[in-house]
Amino acid sequence: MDDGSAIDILLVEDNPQDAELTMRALKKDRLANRITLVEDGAAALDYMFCTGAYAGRNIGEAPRVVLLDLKLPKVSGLDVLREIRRHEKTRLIPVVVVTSSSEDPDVKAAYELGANSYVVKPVDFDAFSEAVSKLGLYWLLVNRPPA
Amino acid sequence: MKKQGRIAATKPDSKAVPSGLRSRAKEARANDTSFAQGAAPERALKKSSAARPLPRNAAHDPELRVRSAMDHMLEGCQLLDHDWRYLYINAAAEAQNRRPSSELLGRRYVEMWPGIEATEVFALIGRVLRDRVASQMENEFAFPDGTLGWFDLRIEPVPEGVLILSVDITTRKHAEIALRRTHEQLHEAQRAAHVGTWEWDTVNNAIVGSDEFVRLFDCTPAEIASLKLWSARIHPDERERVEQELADAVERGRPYDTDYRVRLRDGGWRTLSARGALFTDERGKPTRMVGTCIDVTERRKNEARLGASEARSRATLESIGEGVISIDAAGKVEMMNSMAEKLTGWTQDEARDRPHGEVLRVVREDTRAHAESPVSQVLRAGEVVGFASLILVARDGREHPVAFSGAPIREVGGRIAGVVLVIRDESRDRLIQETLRRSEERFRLVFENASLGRSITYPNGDVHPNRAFGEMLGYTAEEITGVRWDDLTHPDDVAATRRQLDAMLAGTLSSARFEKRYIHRNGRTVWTEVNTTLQRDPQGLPAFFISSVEDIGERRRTLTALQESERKYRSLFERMLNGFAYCKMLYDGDVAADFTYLDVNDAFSSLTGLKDVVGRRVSEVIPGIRESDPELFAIYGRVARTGVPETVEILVEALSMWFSISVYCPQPEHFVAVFDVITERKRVESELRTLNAELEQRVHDRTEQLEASNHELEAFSYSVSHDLRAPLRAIDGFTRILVDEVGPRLGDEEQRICGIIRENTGRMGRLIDDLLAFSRLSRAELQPSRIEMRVMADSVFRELLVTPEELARIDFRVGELPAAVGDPSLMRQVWSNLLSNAIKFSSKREGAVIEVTAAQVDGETVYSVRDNGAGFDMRYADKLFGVFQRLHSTKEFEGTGVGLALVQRIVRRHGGRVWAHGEVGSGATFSFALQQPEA
Repeated sequence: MDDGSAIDILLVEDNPQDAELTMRALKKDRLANRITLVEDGAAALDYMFCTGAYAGRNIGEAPRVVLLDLKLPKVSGLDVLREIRRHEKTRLIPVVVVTSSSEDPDVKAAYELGANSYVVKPVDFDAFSEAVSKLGLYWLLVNRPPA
Repeated sequence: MKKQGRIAATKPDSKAVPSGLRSRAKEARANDTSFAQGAAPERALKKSSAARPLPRNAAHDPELRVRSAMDHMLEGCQLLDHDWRYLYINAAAEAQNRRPSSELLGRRYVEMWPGIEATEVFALIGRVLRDRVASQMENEFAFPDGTLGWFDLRIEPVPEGVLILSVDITTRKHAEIALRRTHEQLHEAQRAAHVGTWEWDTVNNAIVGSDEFVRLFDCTPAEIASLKLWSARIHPDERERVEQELADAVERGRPYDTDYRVRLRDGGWRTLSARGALFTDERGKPTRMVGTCIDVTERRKNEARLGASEARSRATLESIGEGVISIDAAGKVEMMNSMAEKLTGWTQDEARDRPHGEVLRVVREDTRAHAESPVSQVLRAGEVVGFASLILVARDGREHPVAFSGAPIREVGGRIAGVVLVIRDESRDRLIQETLRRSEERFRLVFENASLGRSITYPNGDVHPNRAFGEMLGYTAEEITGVRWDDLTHPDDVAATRRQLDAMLAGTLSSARFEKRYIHRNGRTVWTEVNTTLQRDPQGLPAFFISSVEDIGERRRTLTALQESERKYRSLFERMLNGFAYCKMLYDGDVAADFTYLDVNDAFSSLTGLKDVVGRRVSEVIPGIRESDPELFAIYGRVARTGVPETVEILVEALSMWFSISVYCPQPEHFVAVFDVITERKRVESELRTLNAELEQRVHDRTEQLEASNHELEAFSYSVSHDLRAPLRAIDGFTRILVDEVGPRLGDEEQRICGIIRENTGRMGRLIDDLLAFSRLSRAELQPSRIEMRVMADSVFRELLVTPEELARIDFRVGELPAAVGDPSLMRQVWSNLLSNAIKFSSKREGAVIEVTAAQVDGETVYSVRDNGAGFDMRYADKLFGVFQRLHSTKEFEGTGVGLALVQRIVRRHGGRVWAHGEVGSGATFSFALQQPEA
């Protein structure tokens, strides 16, 4: 799954069940075949900036969208977002914040740091699937990144 | 002959006879020699004797001859019979009688000459008729026409009666009288003029002088009979000069005309003026000198006096401040003094002999019309005339307001010889008048309008007040003008006032100041202070009193009030609880070094414990205070010097006491300290401060704890929402995947169980969401604004029911809902919960009705949502608003049991109330009340 080549989506999610359900929903509609999953913030940063385990990756081949959970081990989702927006090569990559609750106090902070969108993960799997599906559709097919 | 005035009019010794008839008769017997004394009668008698034949002889002639002779006699001849009847009147007598003889003949003498009986001639005729003795008289006869005639009468007794022979001597008598008069006049004139005549026989050196000449020398003729004797009587100072002049006259023929003084018997001197003319014989040798001599003593004195008088007059004319011009009868200027020169602009030399109109140009002051010259008017009127309000235009055009006074100069005979005109320059008078007028006006204005009462009181008691004085007594000034002062004065003060006025009138006081009471028009007493001065006229007589009258009622009241106030404040001062100290500051240079207590009250001692401090210095009373409490000294020193009061709370170390002190400065270098001891208060305050600090600390700590709790709660809530939902999502998600992937292989029962799993995970998710919403209410801050409740209720309802079928099923009625103030998102939650409940519980009923109404009661608006749905049992009404409390099964109606708890929480946070009414099967009404928004 992780071949180091160019991907469509980087999914940053520490809950494996949520990760699986998300990937199932995305793949069910065949929106994205190339999905890379990282399970904590540190891994996400290594991937984005080609360090650590991803030191050999080509930084020029950025994911088309990053789905970022805020509640992450090691480095929090907000810190990951801040780093992405801080660096010239990554600042224009769309980042969609995915969270379990609309009550999350970090949602506001995430928007201030430049998150492009925000999605609450519903308990209902159908609703969850629909939300993820619409998300992938928009960011991968409708949105055109700046040249 | 002393009475000169009668010389010409009457004869000497004549008797005054008071009637038209005057006669002067003398018994004229032939042997009476007395008749010869007067020269004229003597001559007349001789003449008549010579001219006529005696009637005695004629009587012996034949009657006709006699009659014819008598007829032609020049003498008057009349015959009266014994009965006084006219028997005969000749032509001469007829002429003398001045009436025709025919009137007289046969008539009685007394009938013809009325009043004759009183005369001497009548008496004489009577005597001759009786005595038969001839008589003679000179008769002064008054004719009926009033004229006088004089006649020499000789009355002879004849057989028929008496024969009256008369000679008209009127002409002679007149001449005689005139001669005598001339003689008397000359004589009198010589005597009156003191003219003496003298003749000096130069050959025999004898002097013969007239009586007057002798009289002038006040000596006998013998005492002045020679030149030597004459010379001796002359004043020694002049004797030589006069002799020389006489010698010059005699030897050189010079005129002799000189004055000299002669000694009188009484030792005085008489001044004589002598003139003489020299007579010579055929050979030119002087023989005699004849001359006159008159007494000129008075004249010389007068001349001397006149000279001085003229000089004086001239000097007077020059020195007086008025112009004087004399003008002759022809109207030409004769003389003017320097003031007249100044006023007219002409010098006397230039003006002399010019017409007065040229020099005196006069216009009327009012009209400026040319005015007639005062001189002309005086000449015409012939009397003293005054002229005023004229302007004299000088030669150079300058003008002077003047007044003229013109007087005619009359000669002895009364003819006007000229005019003296006095010109008074009134410029200065005008100025003085104007100044006086202004001064009076000023005085009047000041007097009338003075804000102080002023009055003029005349010695007769009349008052002339000014306005302020009138107002003081409640009158207009006019109303009490002329009222007597004692009518206005309080009866008890009349006598005292009169004493003051009398003292001034008597001169023992020049002015007086005293208090007196007047009576106001309304009857009340007006206390005044009067300042009176007596004004005297130029003669020093009292003219009037001028008084200033000041109403001192207010002052008296103020004084009384002040005394009362002082007494009150003294008492207050003594009794007040605050300590009071009045002190004099003592400086050492600029530094407040010490102070002396001048006065303290009782509280001072009781508060400080210091006794008997008055008159002592603080350094004695509290030794060492200056060193221990420099700040206190600084404050006292500052206030006493600057006068700016200060209030301070200070710990006086020397007394170990806290004071609250107000310090002020009643007079320079003094201060008053009003103080209270606040040691106890300070202690309590200190304790209170400690307690407050502790309390604040506790509150702070508590707040921190609460904040921490809140924080934890938030974290907890988040965890609940985040971490509890994740497993639910996994359960639901993987159950769904299971059903999707192996569904066809599952039996119906397995399918149903999977459905139950998913249903419960869904409800669990909703419970979590509601619980979070409920907890969020305690944290979120209200953001109130005005809410149109009707609009909100209506829109919420339509959001809740999205399908047309649902809308058609429910009859939704919204009445007029007053606006409210609240947090819009929370209020929307209230409507949402209440309306969704109503929809839910009426969902199983046909003809469902949901009605929203509002009512305003006691400042609250009560909003109600009523449905006709399932309703509820009122026994459980108290459980309706509890969290997770449900009155219906989930199977019956969906719900978490949080909605109404949320409604109650929101309404309460808005300060309102919420309640419900219901009946099973009939529906429910949920109401909430909010405060009406302020207009």
